[in-house]
Amino acid sequence: MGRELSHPEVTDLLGAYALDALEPAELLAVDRHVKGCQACLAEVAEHREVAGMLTPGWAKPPPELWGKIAAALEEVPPPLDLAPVIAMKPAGATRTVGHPRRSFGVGIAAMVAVAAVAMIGFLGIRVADDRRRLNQFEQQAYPDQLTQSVNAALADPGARRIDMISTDGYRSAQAVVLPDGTGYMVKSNLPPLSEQRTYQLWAVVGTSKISVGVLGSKIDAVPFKMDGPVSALAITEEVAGGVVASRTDPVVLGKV
Amino acid sequence: MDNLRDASDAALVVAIGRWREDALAEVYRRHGGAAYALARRLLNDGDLAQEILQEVFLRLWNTPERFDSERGSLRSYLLAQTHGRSVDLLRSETSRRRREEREARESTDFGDDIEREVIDLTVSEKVKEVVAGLPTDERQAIELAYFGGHTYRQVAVMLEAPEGTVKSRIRSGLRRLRKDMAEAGLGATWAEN
Repeated sequence: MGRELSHPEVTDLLGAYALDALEPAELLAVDRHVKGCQACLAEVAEHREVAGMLTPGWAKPPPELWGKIAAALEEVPPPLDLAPVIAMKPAGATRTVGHPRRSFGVGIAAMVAVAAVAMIGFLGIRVADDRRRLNQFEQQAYPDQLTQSVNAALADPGARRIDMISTDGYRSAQAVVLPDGTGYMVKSNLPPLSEQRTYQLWAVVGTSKISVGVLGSKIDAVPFKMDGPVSALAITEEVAGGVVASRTDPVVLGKV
Repeated sequence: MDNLRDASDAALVVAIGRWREDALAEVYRRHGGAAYALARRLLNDGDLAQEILQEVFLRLWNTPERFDSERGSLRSYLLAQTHGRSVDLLRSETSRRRREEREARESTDFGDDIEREVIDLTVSEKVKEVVAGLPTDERQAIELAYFGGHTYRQVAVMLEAPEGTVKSRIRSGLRRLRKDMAEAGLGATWAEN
């Protein structure tokens, strides 16, 4: 379902949407509408409250489960060749849940992430201009086909979802990548930029970062292709049109 | 906020935003069991349910700002996350065989299954009464979509009803449940400890 849905069409689907009962093709269209419609957001929240009351009571989780979760909080990203830690500018976040104050383990994760940022900012680069142009062409010429491709990727059990987050945790973006390296940006909370600026997606391969897509001033379902042993994806903010060599800190970064 | 047991859910999420692990532990203590029960019910697999729970709570840890207390309770947020991820897994190739095996074990008498699910899955007598008061067609559509992890189109095939009718039944059933629950004194807010 590549076309935009009208408000009445979406409202008919809100019950099924709230229960995760839409087909993938419909999900994207409804999701797009709901996120910008206060009335629909409110109705979905109501439906989910009701659904929550139908849940099957309480089942005591296995005692070891909390230990696994707590241990995962201490995990650090996979080893990268790290540069010395440098200061990183804040992501300009606006959330209201308070100021970050990390525990020791998470602090290590933050240091590693910041170090990776430093590495990305100063290492060699390689740009895939042809690929970028092809991506932009596909996006403009075949929006319906692109939507179908994204839906197919989301439904593909072999696809990986890669979460990228800012070092302060305020900003995030998600990509889905198929086994053949074809990927799509599927969601983000990065704020829209002015027309003179763009987001740019980079793949970290070894000690190089490779441009895999110019995402535009507002991140939408953008296709990209990545090859080789990519260890991380990162998004930077650049001048419109993208850059060959980025000297800016990534806005978000995520291990692959 | 020294005594987390007295803190509201919203305050706990604020504390999680400040990287307080004990706040996440308290959220887990309050709502982990409900989320685990839902995941286990959907997936019929304790190991997979644990994986889902891990993912949901790690997501809350990493991106607490996704929870908006003005749009609902933390419990419903966590359950919606749990449901969404469980359904993703349920529909994936990985779990298809397990699901087929489970369905093969279940009764082929559909109506009986629906009744059993309603009886087994609702959390209180009042909720049971409200759910039982739903028109059968609405109740079946909701049950199959929510607990079966089926899309409304799949539900339409199972119930031999038009797709448009089924999506309308789901929505009208949820609205009716909300109204009836409110009249029965069942608020959408949950005890937090």
